Amino acid sequence: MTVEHACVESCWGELRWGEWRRWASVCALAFAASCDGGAARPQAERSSAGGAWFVDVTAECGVDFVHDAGLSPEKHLPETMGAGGVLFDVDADGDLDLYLLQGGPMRRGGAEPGTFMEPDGNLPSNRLFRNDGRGRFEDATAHSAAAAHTGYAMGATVGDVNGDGHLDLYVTNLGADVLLLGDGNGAFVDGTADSGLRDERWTSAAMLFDADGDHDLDLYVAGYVQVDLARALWCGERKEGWRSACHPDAYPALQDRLWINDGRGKFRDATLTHGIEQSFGKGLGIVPCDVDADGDLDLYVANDSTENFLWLNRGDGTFEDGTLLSGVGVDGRGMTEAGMGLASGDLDEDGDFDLFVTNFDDESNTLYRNDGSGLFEDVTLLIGLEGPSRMPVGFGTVAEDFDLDGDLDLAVTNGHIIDNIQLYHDGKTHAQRSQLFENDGRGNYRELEAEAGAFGATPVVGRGLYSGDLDGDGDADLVLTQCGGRTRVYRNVRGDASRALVIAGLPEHARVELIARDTRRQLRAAGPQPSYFGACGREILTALPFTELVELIVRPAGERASRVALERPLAAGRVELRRAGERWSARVTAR
Amino acid sequence: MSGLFELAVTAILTLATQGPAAQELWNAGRREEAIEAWWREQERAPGDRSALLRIVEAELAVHRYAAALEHARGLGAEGARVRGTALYRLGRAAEALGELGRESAAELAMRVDAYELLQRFGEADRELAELARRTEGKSASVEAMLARSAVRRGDAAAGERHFRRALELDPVDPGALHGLGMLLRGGERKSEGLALLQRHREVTPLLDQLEFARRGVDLGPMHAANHAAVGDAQRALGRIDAALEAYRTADRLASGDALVPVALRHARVLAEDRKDVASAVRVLESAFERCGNAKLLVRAGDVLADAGERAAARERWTRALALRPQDAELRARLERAGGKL
Repeated sequence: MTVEHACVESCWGELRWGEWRRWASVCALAFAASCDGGAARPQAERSSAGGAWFVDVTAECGVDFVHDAGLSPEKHLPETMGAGGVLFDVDADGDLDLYLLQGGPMRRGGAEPGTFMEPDGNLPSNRLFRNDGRGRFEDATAHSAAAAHTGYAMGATVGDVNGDGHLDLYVTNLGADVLLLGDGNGAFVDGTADSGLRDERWTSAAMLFDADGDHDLDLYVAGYVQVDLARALWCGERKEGWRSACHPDAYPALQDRLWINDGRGKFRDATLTHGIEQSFGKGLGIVPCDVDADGDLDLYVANDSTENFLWLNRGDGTFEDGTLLSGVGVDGRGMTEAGMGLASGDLDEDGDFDLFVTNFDDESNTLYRNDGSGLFEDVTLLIGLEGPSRMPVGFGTVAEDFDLDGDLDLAVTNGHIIDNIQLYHDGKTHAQRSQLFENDGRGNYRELEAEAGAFGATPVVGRGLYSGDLDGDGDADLVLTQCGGRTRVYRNVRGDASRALVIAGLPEHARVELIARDTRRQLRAAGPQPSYFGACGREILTALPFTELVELIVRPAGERASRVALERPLAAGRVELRRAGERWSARVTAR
Repeated sequence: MSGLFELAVTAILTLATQGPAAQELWNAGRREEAIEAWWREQERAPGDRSALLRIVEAELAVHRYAAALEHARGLGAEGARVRGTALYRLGRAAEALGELGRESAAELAMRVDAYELLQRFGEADRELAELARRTEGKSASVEAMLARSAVRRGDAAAGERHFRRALELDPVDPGALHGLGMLLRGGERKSEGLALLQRHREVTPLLDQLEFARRGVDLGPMHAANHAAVGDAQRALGRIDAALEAYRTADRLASGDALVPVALRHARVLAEDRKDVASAVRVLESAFERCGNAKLLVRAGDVLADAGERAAARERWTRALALRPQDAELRARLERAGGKL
């Protein structure tokens, strides 16, 4: 093995990067291979797509998943939520596989409000799709064992909870949640009972993250609301066809829960001891993010029609409520909004993490700009995101550099929760167009309509939206889950693959700065980003030309930053940044 | 914006005072049927522009904006306001600006918002100045808008001045509490900023409750209980005038036993918050005359007893007991007060 690029430097002297290993063989990877297994065809396809950024490859890529919302005459609120998905490398073969969550027939109410019973009969399961590395998927559910779970699922989060090197899943349900322990080859066992985790309420979003900096993944689970399915409320007008799902204001909120991992996958409930006991917020989105740059992961929680939470980490996994001073609990007019999906990232390229939340119609999505110290300002109106987001109901969202021009664009999928909303407002529809917003490099956004291509062309009842490089061409593709509809897969045909830089293998949610020869900097965070109810790919997909990269600064949660200087430009291909004794390595891929 | 809500409710209730036949359907809350009936009338007299305008107004009231826009095309200049409103509500800000005038505060507010959505902030500010002139510094929400505009321009001092004025007008204006708190949080007056943000946090659930109640009114504007819920929410926020207005509307719309909870709450605000015993008793007795429920007389007696008017209280309790002779609790109450059984 040849060390082609040695670069041993750490400004704090703690972590040294041992070697850069050039993997000559992976240069032969079929970059940009199409979903149908063909050879790379980026330029031609861009031309044929007429400047569109995305093409819909659902029909030919093997993902044939249709969500069953379990629609009922009672219009129970859970029917409106949809379910999420997870992009992760289930079999450690270097590509992103896809786990999709299923609803099924509506559950029956239990003896007490907020308890649930399974309906009779066969229930549809969550499904696992394996990627062949070129964006073609095969249904691997039959071999996934316990991952073929039949709870009425909501969301999921991914990570290695027991330190065995394999990725695990935690799935929230309308009813008992489940911890699925992976074997690294696509099969899972139900590890819930042994883990100490237990939650049988209606939970929504969940997030595995290292709360206390001890190198294992702790768990935050958002409780939603207490519904009584046995005694359904009637909302909407009392006319045939006009009944609608009730607003969440009609139900009491459930508390969020924090579970601390002992490093071996055993969890203890720390809700009442770690500062989040007041977390009754009807949460739907959770993003871990070091908003105040103090080296630990804070948590931002999007709540449905109540104040959002910002839990500031004290550094030891206990939290204090930072919502008030930070200004991210409500919008700039002081109004609560119906928070759904979340994205974080340095959207204005000023070296700190900003927050973006999708909301209900007649509100707007909200972008909170960070001043670097964890104080935020609602700049939605100023940067052009208010107007386009007033009418739709926003759900899943991702911040990615889709066009590989060096800044973070935004994609949002929309869809109303009321399936007969046109009766109540004839300008609104259940299915809505997804939206793509291009960043001008300074954090101002412009909606792309025709350029969004297939992504924005067809109305969907959008819920989850997850980004990741599905076809190995270095740019961010999209997976979109619908409530009661088919999951869509969109391939990015806009990104200039010659600029693509993929950084994989970093610890979850690590803060990464990339520094170019001309001193330009990019701040990025390793994933997975949550969007709505799920997880995007963990890799950083960015666009700094590989040959211009001179330095990386990596700061995993709870650790000091490591500075890595490159002595000379890197060539195209894939390199691995690894040092014996360290718990992680990074793989950098460029074309 | 809260002002728009009140204007919309007024428009709906105004419609409830117009026309025959179809009108009864409208008054009964059967709004879609009423609109159909108006259309049938319109077909018999197709040239009646004022009738057409009434239909379009009704369509706006039930959120049939696309239909209203289509039907208002034939109204010429007379229909500009309703077309503008429909376009605004359909999210078509640029087109709305071509139709909306400046005659009403509601139109001006929509113009401000539409310009802001288009990021034409200079024009938004000019419209806002006109709106401020029109509201003569008496609208908290307009003052909060002026403050946000000033902060956007970098004029923090003017922002603070307008936020404070808004809070003088409405101590729980969410935009002002939050905006001023945000303005002060980073400087030397951080503790004041935090106190404002804390106050904002305390009132936010109450504001959400109000918003929820307003959605009920929007859905069923002729249902008394929905207006009473708005009254409850306004009272919880300490906005007694607004609460009383909502209760009066509820009182007007309620009938039968549905009137009882409305009148009880209405009277409670008058007696407890306004210390206006006479008005409270008047509300209860008026309601009793309409529905004959003895509870109202009992409460009238309670209100009078609390005010030290024992004889008047006994008189109401006695009348109530005549209607509910088996009511042991009422009998005991009357005995304690020394009344005749």
